[in-house]
Amino acid sequence: MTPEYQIVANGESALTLTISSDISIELSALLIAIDKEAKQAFNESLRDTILGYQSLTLWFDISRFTAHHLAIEQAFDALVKKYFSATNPLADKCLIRTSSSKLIEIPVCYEGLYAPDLSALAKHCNISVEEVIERHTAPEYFVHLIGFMPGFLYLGGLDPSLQCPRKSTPSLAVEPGAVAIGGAQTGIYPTSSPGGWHVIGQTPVTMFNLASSEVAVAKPLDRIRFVAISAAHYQALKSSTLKVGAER
Amino acid sequence: MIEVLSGGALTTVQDLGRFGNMSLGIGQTGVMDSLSAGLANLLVGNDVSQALIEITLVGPKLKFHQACTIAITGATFDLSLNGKAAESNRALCVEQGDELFFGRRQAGARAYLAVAGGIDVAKVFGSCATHLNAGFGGYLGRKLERGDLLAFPIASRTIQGENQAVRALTLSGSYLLRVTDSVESQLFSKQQWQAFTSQKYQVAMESNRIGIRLTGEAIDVSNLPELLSGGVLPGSIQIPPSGLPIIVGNDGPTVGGYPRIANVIAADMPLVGQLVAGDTISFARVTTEHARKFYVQQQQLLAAKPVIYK
Repeated sequence: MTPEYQIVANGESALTLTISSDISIELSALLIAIDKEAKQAFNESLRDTILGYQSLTLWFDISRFTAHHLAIEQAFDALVKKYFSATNPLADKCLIRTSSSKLIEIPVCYEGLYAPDLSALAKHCNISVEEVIERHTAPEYFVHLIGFMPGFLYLGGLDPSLQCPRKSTPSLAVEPGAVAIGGAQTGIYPTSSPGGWHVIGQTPVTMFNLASSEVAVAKPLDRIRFVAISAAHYQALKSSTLKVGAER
Repeated sequence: MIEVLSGGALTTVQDLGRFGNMSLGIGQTGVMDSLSAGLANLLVGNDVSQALIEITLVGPKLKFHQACTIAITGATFDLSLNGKAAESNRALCVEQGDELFFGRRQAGARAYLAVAGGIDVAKVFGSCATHLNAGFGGYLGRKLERGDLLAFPIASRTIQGENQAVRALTLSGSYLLRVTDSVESQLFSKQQWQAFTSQKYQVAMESNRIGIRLTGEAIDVSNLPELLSGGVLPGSIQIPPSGLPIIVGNDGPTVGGYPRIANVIAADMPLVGQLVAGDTISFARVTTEHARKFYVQQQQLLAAKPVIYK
């Protein structure tokens, strides 16, 4: 069934497109394609764009939008409509076959002090710690978007048996590099921050690196796999100049 | 150089912020009150977009190692320049060795100190603004502390004609904020809107650049569906399960999942930047068309340059 879309005002100088479809790789690929086209079409007037799981926000320069908002609203609607005209846009495999999608392996230490909430999560999920690690490292997670804070990847594909509700009282400070599970999501904290997710491991990889040409470790449409490493290996990697693991 | 003798509560280098990086999770940052900041820059002959200093609640003590022209706008403090009372909202001549002290705060949350020529810090992602959460931009990615040295170019300017005091905002502590349509506005019922616009909220202590939290009577939002995370702009008014609004600030998250009843209009965002714990707020809904008109009117205030320089 063809999903529906809606474009609404997000304040007086932004528009948000929402597509009524569940989180999926196909939906993210579609939003990214629309985002790319919108950036070209509205180049002069656009301040920024923000990707969501099922939405795309176009944030315009307010003076330019004031002068041209009718034309922009019509043009954006026409741009999006194109994708929904013929067959189901989510069935368009071309959108996913993007050459820039990479698989990035992220080393994670799931041992001892690096995994303060691992035992509690295992207990909640009614499985052993070893099984948590196995199920967390098995999938290729899909990067749907980056947001909330710099370099924070929103990953899709968490094993449902590992879901665990957020802490009712968030920790005051979660370490940068903390690998965590919150609700049905998993992710890596790029900087120290308060957090309500359960920290089950720690990566020595710098998730947000200003010195690098690619400041974030991955882009939307990339895939992530977690690889378990020992504490000794973690310390060795942490103390060396670390490059993110194998890209394919 | 400006030498920081004492840093104050949260004194940071800012400008109008950075755009084009939300796909990396990097939000706007920048000044919370763009009107007062723009005015401070104009008063010293700068472009509105130049880097300046944002001062929050408790101000710093600064020493100027070279002569320059400065201006202070926004929140009002008992200001003294070398022990003598100094005025806000006008250009001030500073001599080499002068010390500027921010004493007791009178009204508002954030003051802006502009120096002719602008504060000289490197741009990161196109802006001099400080990203406090990730620790980059501005002055070493953090608030100013004792011993810090800020550079500014030697800009020889003489004030010609009138040096008028110009004030942009009235900081009464009780505000009406105009709001307009947001993404989830339609999800809220007439009753929920009524609850939102009919009451006087209070600004909570836990408010900061990330978000302004309000206390008051909670709106029952248990009927609202759970949302998937999507893009969030500064000025968005989120209603979390607690039923108490949060106004997203310039340092707020770029993505979130709480439903938004409305967005504060751009013309009223400068007031949001001046909110202090205990201030009262009520909200009034306007159309997006009106919101844009109000912004245009406000920009005309800045377009009429307050001081002429040669």
